Amino acid sequence: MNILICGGRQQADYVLSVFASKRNNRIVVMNEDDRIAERISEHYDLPVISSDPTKRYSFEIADITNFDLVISLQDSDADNFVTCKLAKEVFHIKKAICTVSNPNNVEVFQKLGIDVAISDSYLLTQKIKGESDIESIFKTSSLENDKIVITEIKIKEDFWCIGKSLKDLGLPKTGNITCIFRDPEVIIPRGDAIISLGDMVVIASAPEHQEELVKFMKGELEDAQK
Amino acid sequence: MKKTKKKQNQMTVVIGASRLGAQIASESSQKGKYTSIIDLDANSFRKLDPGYSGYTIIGDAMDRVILEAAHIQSANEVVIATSDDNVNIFLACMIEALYHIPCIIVRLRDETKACLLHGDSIHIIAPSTLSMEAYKVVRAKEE
Repeated sequence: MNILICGGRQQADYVLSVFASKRNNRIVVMNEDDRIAERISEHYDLPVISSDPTKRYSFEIADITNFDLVISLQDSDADNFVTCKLAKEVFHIKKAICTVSNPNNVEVFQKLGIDVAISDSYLLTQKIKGESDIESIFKTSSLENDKIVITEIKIKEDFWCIGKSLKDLGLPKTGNITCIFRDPEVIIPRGDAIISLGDMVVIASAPEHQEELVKFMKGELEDAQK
Repeated sequence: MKKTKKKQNQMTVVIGASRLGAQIASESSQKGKYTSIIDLDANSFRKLDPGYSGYTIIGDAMDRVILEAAHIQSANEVVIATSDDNVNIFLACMIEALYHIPCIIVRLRDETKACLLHGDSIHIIAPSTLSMEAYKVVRAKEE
């Protein structure tokens, strides 16, 4: 894969350490900060361009025809936007990934054609939200900017659904049991799979149905336990 | 009733109280148009005409809350003139996509970036081109 990495300090270092070790990757680094550019070129044997990644001329100096991916790690969201847009629209790099400091920009960037925008405060909040449930019976993660939630439920001894097959469970149609983790086995369940004590059941749903599904599994929903 | 409604939909929103931004906002307000101007720094508003009667909003226009506080939803004209070209480009693309304003005017110091702005409602003001044209006029008169 051919990758252009723009801006960033520690992140650039870390991304480089991951990608530069793979032999099939061809990497070009572009960084406006002379000192960072110098440090990178001391550590890695790859082309480093010490120039502003939001300028057309920087891209013209870099030999990046047929590049697959641009990763933009600059401090300013607007700079990352311009770098990604230049890379994609003018220099035909196939995919653009960047960081954003304002979590609200994740969605805006995607709407404006940037393939992936990552906000560390957004990810951090998601992680905290997922880990901070005091009951610790279930854990949450999300996909596609919160449009899909993945709920993990640990089956404890007082759960009514122990011994039931998925077919007989009657889970509301708003969710689906996509996976059962029964250490060390990962089960992709069919209708005849039976829920056992200690299972970690993974349910995919829209966020608005999560509460209902968790209640159902715990037997707190009216129609359950029929 | 109808008249006031029409006027409110003719709001001019200016982003960046630069010399250009402040002048445009002052003129718009003087013409009786509803006007608001946004800048990060309250001191920038000193450039406004003393008779300016529009809104002044302190904040980052990249934040949609700030744009909406400036009534961008009812704007028929948005002028983007911050000192940072990249911010101007991002704002123009975002405002075009989210608010469907019929006329978005963007000041760009680096014209090589103009290729990133291609919506029909986006118009670019490039000071270097304008200065070059003025230069040619002066030279033509001199010769």
